Amino acid sequence: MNEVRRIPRQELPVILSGSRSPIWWGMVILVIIESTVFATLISSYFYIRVNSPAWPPGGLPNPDLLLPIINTIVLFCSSMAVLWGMAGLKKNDLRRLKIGIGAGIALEIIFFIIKIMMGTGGPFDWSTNAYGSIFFTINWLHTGHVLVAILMASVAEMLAFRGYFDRERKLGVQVVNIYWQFVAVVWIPVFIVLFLTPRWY
Amino acid sequence: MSGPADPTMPDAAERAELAELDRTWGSPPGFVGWLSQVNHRAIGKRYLATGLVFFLLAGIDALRIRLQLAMPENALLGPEPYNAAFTMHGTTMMFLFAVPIMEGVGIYLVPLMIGARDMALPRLNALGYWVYFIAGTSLYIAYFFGLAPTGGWFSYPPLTRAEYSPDKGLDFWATMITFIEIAALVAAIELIVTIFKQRAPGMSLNRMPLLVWSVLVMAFMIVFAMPPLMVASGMLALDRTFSTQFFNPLLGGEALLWQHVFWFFGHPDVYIIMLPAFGILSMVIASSARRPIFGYTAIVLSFVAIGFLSFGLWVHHMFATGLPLLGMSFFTAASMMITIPSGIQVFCWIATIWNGRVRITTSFLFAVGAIITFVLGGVTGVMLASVPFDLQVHDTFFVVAHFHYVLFGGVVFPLFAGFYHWFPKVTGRMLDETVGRWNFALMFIGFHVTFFPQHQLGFLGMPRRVFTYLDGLGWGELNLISTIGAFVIGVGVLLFLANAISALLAGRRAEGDPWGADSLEWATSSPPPLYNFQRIPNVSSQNPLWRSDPDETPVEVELRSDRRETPVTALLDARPQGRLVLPGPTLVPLFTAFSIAFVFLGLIANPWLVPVGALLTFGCIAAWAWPRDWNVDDTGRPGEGARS
Amino acid sequence: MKRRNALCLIAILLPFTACSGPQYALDPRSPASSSIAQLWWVMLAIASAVSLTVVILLLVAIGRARRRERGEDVREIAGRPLVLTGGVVIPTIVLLSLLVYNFRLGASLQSAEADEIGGLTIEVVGHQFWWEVRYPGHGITTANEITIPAGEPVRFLVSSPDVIHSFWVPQLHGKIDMIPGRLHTLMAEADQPGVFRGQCAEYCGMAHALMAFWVEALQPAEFAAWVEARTAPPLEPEDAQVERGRQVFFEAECGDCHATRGAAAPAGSGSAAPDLADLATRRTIGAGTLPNTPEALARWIEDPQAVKPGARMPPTALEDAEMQALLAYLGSLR
Ligand code: HEA
Ligand code: HEA
Ligand code: HEC
Ligand code: CUA
Ligand SMILES: [Cu+2]
Repeated sequence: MNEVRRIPRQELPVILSGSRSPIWWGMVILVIIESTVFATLISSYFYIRVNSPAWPPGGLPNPDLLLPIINTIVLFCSSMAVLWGMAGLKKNDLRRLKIGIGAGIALEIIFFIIKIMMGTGGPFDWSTNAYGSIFFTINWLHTGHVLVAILMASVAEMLAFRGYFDRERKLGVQVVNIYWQFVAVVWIPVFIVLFLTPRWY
Repeated sequence: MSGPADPTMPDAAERAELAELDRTWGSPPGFVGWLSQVNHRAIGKRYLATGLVFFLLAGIDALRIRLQLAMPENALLGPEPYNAAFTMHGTTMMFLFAVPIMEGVGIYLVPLMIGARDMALPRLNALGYWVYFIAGTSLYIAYFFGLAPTGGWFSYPPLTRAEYSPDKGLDFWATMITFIEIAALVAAIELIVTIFKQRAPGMSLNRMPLLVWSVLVMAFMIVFAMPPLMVASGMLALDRTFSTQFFNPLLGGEALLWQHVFWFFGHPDVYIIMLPAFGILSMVIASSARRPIFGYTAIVLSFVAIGFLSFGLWVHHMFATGLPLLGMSFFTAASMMITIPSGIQVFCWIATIWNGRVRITTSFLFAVGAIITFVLGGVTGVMLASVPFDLQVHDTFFVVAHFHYVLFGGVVFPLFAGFYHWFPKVTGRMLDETVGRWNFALMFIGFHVTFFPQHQLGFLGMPRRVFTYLDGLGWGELNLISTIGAFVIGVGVLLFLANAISALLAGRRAEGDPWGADSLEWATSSPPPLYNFQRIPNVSSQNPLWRSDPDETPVEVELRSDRRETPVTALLDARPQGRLVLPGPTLVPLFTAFSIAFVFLGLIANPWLVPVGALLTFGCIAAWAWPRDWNVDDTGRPGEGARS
Repeated sequence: MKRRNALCLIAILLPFTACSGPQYALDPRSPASSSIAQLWWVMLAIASAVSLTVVILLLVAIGRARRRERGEDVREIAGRPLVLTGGVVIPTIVLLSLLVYNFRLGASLQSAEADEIGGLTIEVVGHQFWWEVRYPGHGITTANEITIPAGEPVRFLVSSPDVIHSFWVPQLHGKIDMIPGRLHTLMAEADQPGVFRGQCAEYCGMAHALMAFWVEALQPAEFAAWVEARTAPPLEPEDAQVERGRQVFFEAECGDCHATRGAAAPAGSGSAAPDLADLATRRTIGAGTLPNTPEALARWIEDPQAVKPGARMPPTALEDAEMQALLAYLGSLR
């Protein structure tokens, strides 16, 4: 039997970030779960579609494109803003982080307002037919995620203003960032499926 | 302050350290203190106890079902109570007993087995439990007040849409099923993270106990299987309360959409509950045979293979829905393929026993009963995978027989093997072995008397879910036999309860390792102290209590005892990487669970409650996420003092 | 009777004894059910062999381990070959052959369906909780009882306007779901004349348990005679009691839902209720729930819920004389 090697506390940091931190893994798994939710809904969309004689059914027009395209750009910018702020943290630049997250939140609020302007997305609502139901559910589930992202980022922004984060202590922003990027990325399939595929074939 | 773990430390210092650890890991006294506990063993015990209560409740419904079917044209239960009884029986057994109790096994045992002091996100753990508790009890409260769901455990629409089932019972079902999946998902996150990052130094992935492996695969399966269920039950709830048209065939909705999504969850679900049970069997068999399990790697690969394959079988529940034959044949082939990993495990166990020195304990008897029962259920599963054959017996008592065989062989008997095996660890008391043998004999014999005749009932044309049947169909005698068997199982279960209660009151005290088993949970006292391990053990083999590798230098991590700390190690090789500071007792999870429940109950009662609940939830989560202690760092890293 | 059923238990262990019953799938009366029953016996043999082997191995293993425990010197078994043969090689061979058997059987059952374009087509519509039966080629509509010619394949087109039901006559064929919004086909053929019972196999609500029906296979000549009789023009009521009953039928608003001989159901009622045109020839009423006797009919009309909870027919209170007249009228519907 060998001598026991003792690892002193100084070599065992308590401030962990990235894949060293259990919490980071927790957020990654949450994102996988959410992706499964969206994947299921999108599969359901196509299942309803292949069993429908026309698409959109019942003589409904194709969904309008202008606002969703604007929204795509807004969401893209917000995601860039947060990434930019995160990069600042690497240099211990807390001001840049605050600006980045702040801009991200502002852009997502714009996204949200545009969503409200879009309403149900056409001359139908969730109870018109199965198309309306699935369209509405996917669209607004995503909007709900945007809201959650805004709320999460606000907490991070408050902490940033109180000087909580630095180069080492950044798990909180990392986790918010993962969620943020997820909400932005998942918009792309949602946008393509809901707004583009009905026009394609 | 805690000193370093020095073997030459005088007793007084050691005692002081233990006292400090007790204080740190303890919870405030009294009922509120109890509600605020977040320690994994407290939560795990609650899961186990609650799951057991739901098992009894569902068992009582099973006995009512059996009494009603005991003879033709029985007038004991009318159609409504009967339909409610099998719906609640199936729903409870699957959603409130089997899945949560397996999570409970994981939550209780995994940290002990991997040598951690607690799980990664203790408050989330508590939240999961409260969600489970609230969802389960509201379903039952509604049931007792006559708001019973009557759609069966898989609630096929359009029958379950509001036109055909206007009662509130199904609203409770749809929303509570959606709600309770939060608990399953939370537990899955919790378990994966803990297994990934908190194993004792040296416990690389290939040294993890098989139970931990099976729980890990189960947790991943939950991650991919439960979200579809939430989507399905969410769509059903929306159809019912917000008049969406997902399942309304008149407005483009699809009855089969539900079936696809439900079974995409439902099939993996049966393996979700079976895998940890197989983990239990592997642990019990190895420790009864007193030798390492034969084919560790093969078993791990089987777990993983079952996990993957199980997502490709769901259509075998839909063979009668008129899908194209070619497509269905694929699912036949996949269903037969999953036999191979199951068979590998069975033969690994046989090889382990064969080459071991078996001590016949009640736990071992249950394990053997489980294998026999599971194989009998497995072979009927293979038959059902055949499309032409399934068209005859689908939705008959043949299927009922199949799934009770696999569920008893793959869930209930392994769980009882586990109960007898770990009861001393959990409570510090030994269960009585003589009563245990009777317990086993009654349950095993009762089980086969109940369910074996049901195969023949299926051939005789008895569909499932019939509240009555006419005389002259030739079903009476077999049903009567089946009913008698069910009561024999009931007596067996009561015997178990009696055994457990008398052991708790006056059982023999258990030592740390009463079975001479090999995994880390046996390295600490029975029951373990609040902090599980005073010193985090070091692992250098698959059976740390039996062997250690003389070539490996054991490491010991230094942890503080004045706050809750547990080591963080690397994902693959469990090299120490840091320390995780864990939160102490708090009521926030309880409040959060109630706030979320508000959202879901709002869906049933009044949609305006939904935003209120959502706001409350957000408040709770903000309070939750706010850092507790800004100065956790004690490693003296530069820049630390800059903040106040 | 009792003895024979008790033997059923043993029937699974010893695949020789026969049980019976009007819904016994292992007493097949059609090519399809026969081939499925045969598949079962083959699979039973395989399954018994597999289970028996596992149980024996398990018991032997325990025996060995016990002896070693008692200090005897017992040779160890090589685990790897055991696991490989038992867990991989044998299952692969067995399952592959089973798979081929399955595919061929499945394909032959299905091609039987695709080939028969001609022949008789019958539409069966599952309602909560009864069966509407239509012969589109002959303009016949009836309920809860299906008459088919023996010895020739019949095409069933099944559907449902409300919830999912499942059409199943075990002695003739496996089941097929009736799913709202879809139309499914099933080809079935009775070898010999006979009477077979079928039952709804998908849980469809309160009275799912009491949703049965009968299939009667007739010699082709008899079948032709049956069609003849069903399509003949309605007879005028022959006596006053029947005529009185006919009036009661419409006064009591039975005709609002039910079509009868010579009186279609009112437009817009869809197929709300079973067509009663040949009620008197049916074996049972209430979709297989009660024998078709005047007493049972009277019970049914007075309170269908007491007989079959959940049935979608309201109770009707009638004076005794009216009831007798109504029963006479219903008895004349053949
Ligand atoms: C723990 C739960 C569990 C498990 C493990 C299984 C295991 C299997 N099940 Fe089962 N099943 C259920 C729970 C489970 N099932 C439930 C709850 C339902 C009904 C749901 C409902 O409708 O309410 C169901 C229904 C069900 C159906 C649908 C029936 C119908 O509704 O018509 C089918 C069809 O293919 C099926 C197949 C299988 C197969 C092929 C396996 C295989 O995994 C079995 C593999 C194992 C073995 C075969 C034994 C060990 C192997 C050997 C010893 C090797 C040698 C073996 C051979 C050569 C054969 N199951
Ligand atoms: C893990 C899952 C599980 C378990 C363990 C069981 C256990 C049992 N099941 Fe169940 N069953 C299902 C899962 C399960 N079942 C599912 C999913 C369905 C399908 C439902 C559907 O169709 O929707 C089903 C359906 C089902 C049916 C078919 C109903 C129908 O289709 O009409 C029947 C009928 O015999 C039945 C019987 C039993 C019996 C007798 C037991 C027994 O083994 C129960 C043993 C337990 C006890 C007997 C309890 C002991 C307690 C006491 C004796 C009282 C003590 C009381 C106090 C201390 C307060 N079950
Ligand atoms: C609201 C519609 C409605 C009215 C009015 C109604 N019935 Fe019915 N009836 C039904 C339905 C639906 C069934 C099928 C019930 C079942 O088996 O589930 C039925 C079944 C029957 C049957 C059994 C048919 C069979 O083959 O099983 C008879 C006989 C019958 N009704 C007679 C009558 C008479 C006589 C009256 C008037 C006194 C009447 N019904 C009024 C709806 C109605
Ligand atoms: Cu119709 Cu069951
Ligand atoms: Cu399955």
